[in-house]
Amino acid sequence: MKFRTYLETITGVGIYPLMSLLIFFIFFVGLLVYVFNLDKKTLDRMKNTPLEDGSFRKGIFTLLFIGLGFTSSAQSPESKPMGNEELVLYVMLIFLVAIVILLAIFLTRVMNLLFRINNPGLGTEGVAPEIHWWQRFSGTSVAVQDEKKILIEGHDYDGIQELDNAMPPWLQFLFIGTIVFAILYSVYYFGGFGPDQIGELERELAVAEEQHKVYLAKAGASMDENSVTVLTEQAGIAQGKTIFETNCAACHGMAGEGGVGPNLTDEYWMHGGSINDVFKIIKYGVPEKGMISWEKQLPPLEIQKVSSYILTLKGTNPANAKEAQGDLYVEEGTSGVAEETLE
Amino acid sequence: MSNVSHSLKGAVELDEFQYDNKLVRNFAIATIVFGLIGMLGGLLAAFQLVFPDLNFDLPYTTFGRIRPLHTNAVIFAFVGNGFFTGMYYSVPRVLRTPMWSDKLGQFHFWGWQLVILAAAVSLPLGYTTSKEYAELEWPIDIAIAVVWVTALVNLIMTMINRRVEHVYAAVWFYLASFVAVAMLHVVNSIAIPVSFMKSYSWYAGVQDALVQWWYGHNAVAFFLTTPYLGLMYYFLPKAANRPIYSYRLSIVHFWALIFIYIWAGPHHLLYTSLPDWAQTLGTVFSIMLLAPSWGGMMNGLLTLRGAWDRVREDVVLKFMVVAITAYGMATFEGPMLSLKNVNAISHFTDWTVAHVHVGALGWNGFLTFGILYWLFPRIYNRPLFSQKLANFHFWIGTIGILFYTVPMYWAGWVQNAMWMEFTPEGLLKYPNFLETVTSLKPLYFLRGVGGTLYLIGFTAMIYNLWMTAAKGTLIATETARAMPLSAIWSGHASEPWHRRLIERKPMALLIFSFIAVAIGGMIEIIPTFMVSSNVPTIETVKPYTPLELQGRDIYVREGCYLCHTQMVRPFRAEIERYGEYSKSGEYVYDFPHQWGSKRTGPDLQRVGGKYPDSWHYNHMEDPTSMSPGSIMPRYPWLLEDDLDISSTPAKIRAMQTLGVPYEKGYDEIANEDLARQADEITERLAQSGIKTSRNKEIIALIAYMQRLGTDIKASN
Repeated sequence: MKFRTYLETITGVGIYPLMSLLIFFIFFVGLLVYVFNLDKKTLDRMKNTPLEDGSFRKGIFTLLFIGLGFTSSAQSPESKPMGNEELVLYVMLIFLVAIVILLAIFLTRVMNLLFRINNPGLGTEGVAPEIHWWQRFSGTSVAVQDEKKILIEGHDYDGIQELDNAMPPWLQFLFIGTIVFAILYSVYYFGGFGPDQIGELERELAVAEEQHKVYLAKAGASMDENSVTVLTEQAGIAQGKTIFETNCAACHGMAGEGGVGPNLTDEYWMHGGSINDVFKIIKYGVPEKGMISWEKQLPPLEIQKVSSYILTLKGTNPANAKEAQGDLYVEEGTSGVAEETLE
Repeated sequence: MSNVSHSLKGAVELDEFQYDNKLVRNFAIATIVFGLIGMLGGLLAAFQLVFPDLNFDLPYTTFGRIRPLHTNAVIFAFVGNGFFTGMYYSVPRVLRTPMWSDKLGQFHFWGWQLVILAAAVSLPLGYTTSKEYAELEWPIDIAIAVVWVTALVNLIMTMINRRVEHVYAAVWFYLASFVAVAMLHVVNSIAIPVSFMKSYSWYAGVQDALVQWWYGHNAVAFFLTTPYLGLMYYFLPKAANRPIYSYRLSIVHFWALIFIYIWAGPHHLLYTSLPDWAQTLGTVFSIMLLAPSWGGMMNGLLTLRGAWDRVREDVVLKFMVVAITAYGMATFEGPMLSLKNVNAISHFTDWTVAHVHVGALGWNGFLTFGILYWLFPRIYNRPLFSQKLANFHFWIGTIGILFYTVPMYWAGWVQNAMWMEFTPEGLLKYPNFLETVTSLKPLYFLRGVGGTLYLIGFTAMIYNLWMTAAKGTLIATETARAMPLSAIWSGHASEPWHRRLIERKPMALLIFSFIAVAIGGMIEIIPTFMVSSNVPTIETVKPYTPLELQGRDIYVREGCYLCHTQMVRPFRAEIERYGEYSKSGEYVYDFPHQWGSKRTGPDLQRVGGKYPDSWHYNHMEDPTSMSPGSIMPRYPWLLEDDLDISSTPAKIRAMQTLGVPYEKGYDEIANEDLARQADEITERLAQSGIKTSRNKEIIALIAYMQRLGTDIKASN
């Protein structure tokens, strides 16, 4: 939750994908230039790197794990949209630790490999091959040169043979692990410990209710159709204009001349023309006439701004004005009477 | 008997027989041609979301019709033909026998291409069932079933006539794919025909959604995954010249995969009106799918042990390694996406789009390319025309995948964040849905760039393969020799049970794999139909009026469900934005359901009564008039075309057959009600200054849209 909020509060967040693309692009171009410029010698040396002893593969595996660690940690903050932040923190911490450990393992391996490249003849001769726990765990305990021993006799399909390697233990653990998870998950939900989705919704609404109360206590009572007043300072009116143009212009015209909705620039109003009336119409809407309710889209202060802006349109006589609808509204005295029945 | 045959081994004469490469070549050409068409369709759809003018204001080219064309072409035409290419090459060779029947093979080829052609014509014309990846109408569905079963018979007969004792793993995967897809296709496509090319799904609402996603998810499993795993088991060891890493692993991951996969369908319906218990089953089985899926990946990658140095040089292996890695990534992501809280983010957003394209572009695409680059030099008897060009294809394809998926992941996260965000006042921060779409346009553009790069690589391949074929000559048939099965059959009693009972017996393999794939679906689907508490009745929910029914069919025809969902999930942000969350009882007359799977436009479940009729009229004529900046296509023909009301009685009768409680004989008088309601709407439009006549299609569509979600409003 927190993470997403941060994303949204960054101004001009839209530029970031473009930047990441640029970085990404530069990286690839750089890589290409590097590859093209490699001289033959380096290339040959790289080609002769002893990859067949398994070190390189192990490195790849480790990298794979690190990669997965990253993927998961990138997802975990997203994956707890309603969970508590502490949990997210712990999950991230665990992944971080895992990444550090894996990095350490990887680095030792690379060191080891470099050491052996620099000291050929060391450690390769005469010593009985010893199966490292990692080889066993990753399923590579039978070396490539020994695999004839585990070829399955009689399995020859258009030249394809099969080895009789055991399943990699880590994969077995993963399988068992997911089954255990599945059982626990099922017990949690089928056993009635976990909330069903309607229960989750109720919880979410209760939390929101609580937050709203806290907010109201801090911000003071909010404005409604009875307490609203006309804004006169230019800044508020200008903001009201922007709100109008994004939300109202589709039906009422860019200049308030009317369209699907009525003309807002004349002196005739269908539901009253006081600031209280206009505020109320915007807030609750007139569904039977097609005016939608904006209560859920615009906070009261914004409705106030746009209402005030609308009142400034009176008498502007824009082009293509729609014919007058409703009754002539005379200011002062009569406001808020005829509309009582509307809801 | 076994002892006798053993001792005779040397004396028995070898059979001589031929492998047919021509059929393989034909399927390969079809793969390439339809791959190009499918990808061009995808590219058009991608850019339509950035430049709505690319919809060309024509019914046939709007996003709602191009998108199903793209998905069907890529899944069934490109990947389908790719599967058959590899299958007809590998099956005879690993079983040491030609295909049982050349005629059935030919029938399969031409039948399948005709089905694709029928799809390519009928989808742009608007003939669709609106069930994703099963959009084709009933006559085509029947043709698919016939062709499919023909191919299955040919495969199983070839297995019976083999000259090896033990059936190789690749063929298990092929067989299971045929069995499962046959079952999925038949069950999901059951419908009641109204006319030639129009039918209503046999299932309604929640049940329809469950059957549909049981199908949809397993179309991914048994059309895009298991056939290609089978291909991997043949072409990877052939290309790498290495033995398969572990026979035991292939047994365990095969059976675990096909058994578990089928259960996972409901993870497409998390937080919908599907009963909670079915959702939970979908989640837990998806999690358990991780290790069996990775079993395939590891058996592939570890088969390359000792061949990694060649991967650097051999473009075929490069394609295959990236394909298998993409498979591993997609099958890791899949289980994560089926966790409820992750799914709450990914569902309805571009995250899902990114996820499937890792699989489609990476796994299916790259494996197909690797196989084609391996195959063409062999059947045309000359080296590949250009290794350099193939390497270019590899790199531009890989970059294309990254350019496609990275922006889509980003788009998914951003859009969901914007949907869910509240202000301190307790209001939605982005109440205008459109804002959450337009902010994604740069990302949609980048996605289009990624697709373009991928397509450039693809055209490079076409040229490369074309030149290879042009400079070589097709080896139409290859002669091979082998001992007959009776001469080599040993039937060791000491063999492990699975070899004696299943892997040597094609029919047993068929039956056991059918049982494995049938169990999950039955346990999930049958109770949803039988137990009435799963769909609580809502009294106020009434059948659609004739006009609304006609309008609904227009909604289906135009493919509205591809961008608009009809499923308000029980989240605060969604009930704030759309209204009351959806209840399963609301959908009981929805044959088929229109829940959708992607929200490029807002949810429409509660749109009824939200806007005046005139708003809808103007909006369909030009969406930007009512929603400035909208990327929705214009639908001017709805304002001009007359509604065909001659179909009303047949539609009402079909609905009655499905159990919708229209009164007896209502089909006779339904058009009177239709006219009355159309007049009301025309009248309301006239009041708003819109002149139209009551027999236009737009009137029916407005009637349907204004009805949506209002039954339950009335009850509140």
